[in-house]
Amino acid sequence: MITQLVASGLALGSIYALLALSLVLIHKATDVVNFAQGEMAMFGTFICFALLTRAGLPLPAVLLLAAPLGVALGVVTERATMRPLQSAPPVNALIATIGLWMIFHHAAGWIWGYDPVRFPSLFSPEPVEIMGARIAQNSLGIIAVSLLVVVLLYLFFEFTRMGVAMRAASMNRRAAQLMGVDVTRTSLVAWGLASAIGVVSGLLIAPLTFLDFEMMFSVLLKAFAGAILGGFNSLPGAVIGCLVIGVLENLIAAYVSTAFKDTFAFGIIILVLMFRPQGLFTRRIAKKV
Amino acid sequence: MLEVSNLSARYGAISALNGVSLGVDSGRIVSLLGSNGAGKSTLLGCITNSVPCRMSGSIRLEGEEILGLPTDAIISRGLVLVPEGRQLFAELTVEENLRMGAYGVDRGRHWRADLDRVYRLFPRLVERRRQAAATLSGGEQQMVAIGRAMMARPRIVLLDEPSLGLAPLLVREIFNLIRDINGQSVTVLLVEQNARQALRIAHAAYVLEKGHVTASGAADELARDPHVIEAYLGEA
Ligand SMILES: Nc1ncnc2c1ncn2[C@@H]1O[C@H](COP(=O)(O)OP(=O)(O)O)[C@@H](O)[C@H]1O
Ligand SMILES: [Mg+2]
Repeated sequence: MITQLVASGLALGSIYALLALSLVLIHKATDVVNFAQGEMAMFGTFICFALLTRAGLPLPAVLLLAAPLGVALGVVTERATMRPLQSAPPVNALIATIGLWMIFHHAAGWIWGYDPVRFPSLFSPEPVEIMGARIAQNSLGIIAVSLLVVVLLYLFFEFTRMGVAMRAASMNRRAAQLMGVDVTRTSLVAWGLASAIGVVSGLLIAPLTFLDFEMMFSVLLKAFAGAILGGFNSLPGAVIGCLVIGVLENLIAAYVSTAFKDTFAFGIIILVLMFRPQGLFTRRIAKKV
Repeated sequence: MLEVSNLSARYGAISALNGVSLGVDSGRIVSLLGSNGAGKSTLLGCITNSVPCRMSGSIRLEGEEILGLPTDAIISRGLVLVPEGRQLFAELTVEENLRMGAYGVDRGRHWRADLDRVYRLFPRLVERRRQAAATLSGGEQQMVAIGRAMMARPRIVLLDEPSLGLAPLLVREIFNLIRDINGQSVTVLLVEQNARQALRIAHAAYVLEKGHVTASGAADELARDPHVIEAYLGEA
């Protein structure tokens, strides 16, 4: 029982982790918190659904298209809304993302309707036996996909020219610019990547919760809680934070009350911001530079 | 080598430079003196197009207009800025910082050879190579900042107050290093508030006040100019 709860908690947590990675990616690259991240993920998932049902593409084809589609959504959004604000204070851009939230939210309802629809499941619901515990293949599949995204992201930041440039720009944008990094491009790449990862999280959650224009709200909340647990500026921190949130959520729902399933995330956000704003896992390094 | 003519720059409604003209001949060290807020950093920022300014006028690098070119295009033409306050990548090691310096040129292909060259210039950095930049002393950080710029194989380097916040002994060391770099046929435009040291190693100098060039000439001549003595060299 507890093993299953933990396993499905880790699966939930890794969906939150993907969205949290998107939030942290954009924040590190541009100092903007993209409140529309969840809605962009939902919007992208709806487009995938339309390709599946209206355009009649097979599910594997749609899954392959999801990432490039997410990139396109992010790039267009950045160009249209963030680029014009790039020399304005970050708070302007932040407020613009709240506007984007509204726009994606209502556009989705208006285009695809306000009723939840079933999204085909990507993995078999049949459980498999692992070390004496029966664990849903679904959970394992979700964890595997998320792990793949994390590994790809790691390789990108460690070993590609663009990834190195983005890490440098996130530490000191002016210095990176003076080294020849094109800092408008790093912002664009961050939005593209973040949006693609967000769409993957949407595709993973939709079969569990039904596809619905409201579906990302609680995911975004948990992603925020997890990212804040991890200090909001650390990609690994955000992943670990979200896994903790996912497992906690399951345990609270099972042993305390399902009523706290969503509200506890708010509690965590507030407690962490009050007592440990740098997150649970990051040491605060004294910065002389 | 570098020719700035009639350059004006404003941050929104605030005017920071008013028709500034100056020239830096190839192989020289030229100092730009001026007190806080005179517009020195803005001038260097305009030359590298790395400040949010509206600019007008002309900036020529070896005869070619570079005003308004993207920063990376300017760097790949051999002009590099060592910014005020060093601006290192705090969490990266010394060596990673230096490697970033080669990012914009040649896609960093010669970084190994260039790294050796920088370590020869700053032997003290060798033992610190695996240390995070944030943990270095101010003088060492300045060496990393200059070394990082040298990784781009510049033909001209702009230095913005390299002696800022350093102990007197280190200040001397840094200025001597700048002279060594110049000895390797790198042209230098040196912004300083430490006028005495700056004039000591410079061939020529300009004085910038409130966005205007108010004096210019050979360094030894300026060092005898009564106005410069009073405003920048003090009594000591
Ligand atoms: N980012 C900026 N936005 C608005 N004004 C600025 C900015 N940077 C500098 N200034 C203004 O431009 C003027 C020149 O500043 P600066 O070039 O930094 O002088 P210096 O380097 O000689 O001390 C000052 O009045 C300063 O307040
Ligand atoms: Mg300055």
